[in-house]
Amino acid sequence: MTHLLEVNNLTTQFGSGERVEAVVDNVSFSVGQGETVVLLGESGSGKSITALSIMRLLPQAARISGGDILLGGDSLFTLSERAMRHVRGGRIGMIFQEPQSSLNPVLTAGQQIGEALQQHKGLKGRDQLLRAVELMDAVGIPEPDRRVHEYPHQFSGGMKQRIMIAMALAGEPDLLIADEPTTALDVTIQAQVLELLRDLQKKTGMGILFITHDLGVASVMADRVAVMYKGQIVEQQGSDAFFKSPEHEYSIHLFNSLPNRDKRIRDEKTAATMPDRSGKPLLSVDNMKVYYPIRKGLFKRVVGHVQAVDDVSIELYAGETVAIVGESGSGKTTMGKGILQLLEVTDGNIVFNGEDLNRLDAATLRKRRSDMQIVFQDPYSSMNPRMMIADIIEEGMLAQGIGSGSSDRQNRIDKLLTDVGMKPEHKLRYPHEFSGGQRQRICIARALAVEPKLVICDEPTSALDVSVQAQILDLLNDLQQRLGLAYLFITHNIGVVEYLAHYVAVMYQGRIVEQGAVEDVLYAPAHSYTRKLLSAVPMVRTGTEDK
Amino acid sequence: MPVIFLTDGLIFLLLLMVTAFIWYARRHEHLRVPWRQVGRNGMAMSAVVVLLFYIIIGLLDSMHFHPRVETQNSTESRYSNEIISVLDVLLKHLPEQTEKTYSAPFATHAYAMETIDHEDGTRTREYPRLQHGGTHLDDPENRGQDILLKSLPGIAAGLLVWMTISFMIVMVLARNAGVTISGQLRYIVHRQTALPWHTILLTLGAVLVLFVWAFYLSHYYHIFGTDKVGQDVFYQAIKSIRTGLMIGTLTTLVMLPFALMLGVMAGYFRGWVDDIIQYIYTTLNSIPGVLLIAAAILMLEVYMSNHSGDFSSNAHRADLRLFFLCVILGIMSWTGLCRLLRGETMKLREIDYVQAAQAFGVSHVTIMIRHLLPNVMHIVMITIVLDFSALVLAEAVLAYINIGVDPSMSSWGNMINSARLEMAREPVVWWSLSAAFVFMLGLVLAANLFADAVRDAFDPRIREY
Repeated sequence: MTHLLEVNNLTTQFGSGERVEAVVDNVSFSVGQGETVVLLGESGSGKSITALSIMRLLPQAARISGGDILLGGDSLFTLSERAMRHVRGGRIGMIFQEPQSSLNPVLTAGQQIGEALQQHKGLKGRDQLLRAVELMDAVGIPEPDRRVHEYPHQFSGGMKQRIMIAMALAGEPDLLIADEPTTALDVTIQAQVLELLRDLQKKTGMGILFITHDLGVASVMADRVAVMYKGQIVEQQGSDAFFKSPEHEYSIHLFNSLPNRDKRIRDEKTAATMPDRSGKPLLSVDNMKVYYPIRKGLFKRVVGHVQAVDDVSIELYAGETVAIVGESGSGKTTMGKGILQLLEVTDGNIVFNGEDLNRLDAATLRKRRSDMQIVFQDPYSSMNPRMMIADIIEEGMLAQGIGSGSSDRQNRIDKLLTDVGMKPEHKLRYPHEFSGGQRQRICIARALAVEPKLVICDEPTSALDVSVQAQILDLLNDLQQRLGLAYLFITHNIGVVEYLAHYVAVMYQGRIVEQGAVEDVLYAPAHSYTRKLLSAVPMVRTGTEDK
Repeated sequence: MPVIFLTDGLIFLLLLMVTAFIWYARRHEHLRVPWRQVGRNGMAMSAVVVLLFYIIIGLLDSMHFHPRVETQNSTESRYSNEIISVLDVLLKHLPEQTEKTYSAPFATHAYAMETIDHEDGTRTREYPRLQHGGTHLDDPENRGQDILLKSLPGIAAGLLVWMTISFMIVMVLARNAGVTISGQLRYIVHRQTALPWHTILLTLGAVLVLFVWAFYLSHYYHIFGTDKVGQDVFYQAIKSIRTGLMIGTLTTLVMLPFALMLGVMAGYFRGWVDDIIQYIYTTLNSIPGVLLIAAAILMLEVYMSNHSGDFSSNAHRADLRLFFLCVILGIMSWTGLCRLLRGETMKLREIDYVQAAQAFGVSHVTIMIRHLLPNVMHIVMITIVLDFSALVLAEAVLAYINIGVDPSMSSWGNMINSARLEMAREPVVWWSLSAAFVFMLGLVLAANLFADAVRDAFDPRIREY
């Protein structure tokens, strides 16, 4: 049987001269008609470069140094650039990760789909418009007649990704390359887009090369899985076999890193021991509201409010982890920053250790800040790139007057770095010298420097690869047991909740719709939104579950 | 007896600040890395050599004093009323070599005919011999040959100076690297040094040979001719360097505190602070700049004529006017940088590390100084070097409409302004304009090339890491 796409011994290199690095190293795989092959791997494994090599759209520093790519029997590397233009979008469609930046903001959806139609199908005028409407209908955009004339900013993220898919389909390609098409989307939207892709595949019989780092997504989409690691395909199997019994040690490592209930039981971390909830809570939030005024007109009169956080109440006891789960825009980060008084809270009581933070004056609040700290999502922007690690960690101690002198503080820094699994000599380096996971460790050390009782973790692992995520979660767990920290853990990842949290609160449009112990909420959800959210999460069909 | 003008003091203060900054930057990796990248750029380093040449001349010209007057009674020292600079001492021969009026570059005869009474009573109209230019020639017909002959020792002297300085540089480099001098020389010739010393030394050679040659020949000829009152144009062009540098740098010194403080404050506090600062700079921006400068200069002139007793000399008056021009240009030009800084700060204040500092209870002032200022420095750096050349050019434009520096002060703007009439006469006097043009081009081109390299090194969108 001839395959639709055949990649043979593809090698793509970066750099020249002595500093050559093979980002894609001798990779071979194939995609058949109507088949979905998932290219699975962590960041830097060469998945995207493989896709770009197929499209011959490599960045300037890279070049293909060996191998061959056959599309329906034609070698792509022998085609002229002119012929290649017909292949791109015509025979191979491509969708990218970021729908926001992949669409041109000054052209309507119809014009952008129309451009592809004119290029590859030669459609013009009314035919083009009709076909664009048809395509938008096919990708599930409601009221396509009207919305074809709208601009990208009028569409939501999921809708934009649908338009991207419509554009990719305009040339009726034989092969669709999807590079992390749902990574920037919420789980419920992700589920819809994945379903759409499967439907479209059934109808058109196209092959899909699906690139992702998410085992769950891979499990939902794949007919076959190819695992990439450091530029090489280390394992290639049929989907069922792969999820039942991964062979390569790296694949097994990936499965083991995945946070979920199994891992919690396996690691015997926190496990069944629920913390003691008697006595006074460390933090109790009552009817907290954060409203942003909407102003209109010449005199900026307030005509309404955006209710970012609306009437939220939650309790947190020492030594426990409460997870806040929700999709983007649900107000979970606003709530976290509101509790820390990093933004103005409109109304409500935030009682921490018996004091209402909302009513404290600035000077007292400044002193209380050492009790509550925050760890941010993006390890790249959460440290001042102009400061050395030692100065970054010392800053909080200086502001809070912790440590009896410079040498005492330096000793503390050494100890903190050791505690989070770094080395004391790292303190004389700058943030850019560290990887994402290491930076997140330093951020945790920084937060711990002022000896807080509560740490708000704002999606601390979302920007990290699965294996690094596992290490950071491990570290957080470890620190909780040693130091008795309380965590308010903000996340969108249900697996992390299962693994780490004792209690969970589900947020939707600024409100908490359901809260309770993790077991209760996740395995017997009461609210309809919680059920919808849980069903949208792509579950990994692991071998253990099947038995 | 030394005299310190206001602008002299400020320029040396600026020099001190730059030195302090270099010392500070050497100890900070994030500043050292981009500067090192600038250092590796051959084009930029040639530009630096040219700039340094201008700066040294400007600084020499900024050390003023009353010269000692020789008297019979040598126990008591007397000082002349005249104020001169160290540069004037080095170029002593030039201001003394004045002719009656225009003469072309390398001329031996005046540019205008004169009626001359001969001893025998006859009168003829002819081009008279110059009093200083080419007087050593018995026969003016040999001029071309003489220039070539005189060029040889000039160029030889230039090469000698170049080799001496180069040798000293190579010696220091060799000692720092711990290799022999010949070894270091081999590295440089084969371009195996971290800094592009090969290019730097060649540029240095070109600049030195050209200057020493010109300096040598200026003893015998007016190499750029003379102006209407017979002053040497080469001398004027060199004296103008100080004015150009002052305008380019002092203005920055004036505007920087405004731009930094207001820009960062507006971006950080937002709300009413931002409203007020925005209001100020939009208002200031909507006033035509030339109008404001003209008004300020006219006011200053009125003040100075009413208080003429306060100024001990014309030089002091001219200096005050130069300073005011810098101040007013500074006040006009902080808005652009302020706006850039406000936008960048607004972006930065939402970034996680600023929020983290707030969560630690760090004070607003500390956050602004420690987290915001260092992270907007690349914008400041780029703006300063880009603005420099624009300001040097602005001086020329302002002088052209007579609101520039004092007419008695040498400046390229004044030279160009006077060229307006010179270009209109027949035969055309082209050398004032050309000399100003060549000197200004040298400075502005070098500054622009340097600015390009600085931007490449500092702009985070271009830079990797």
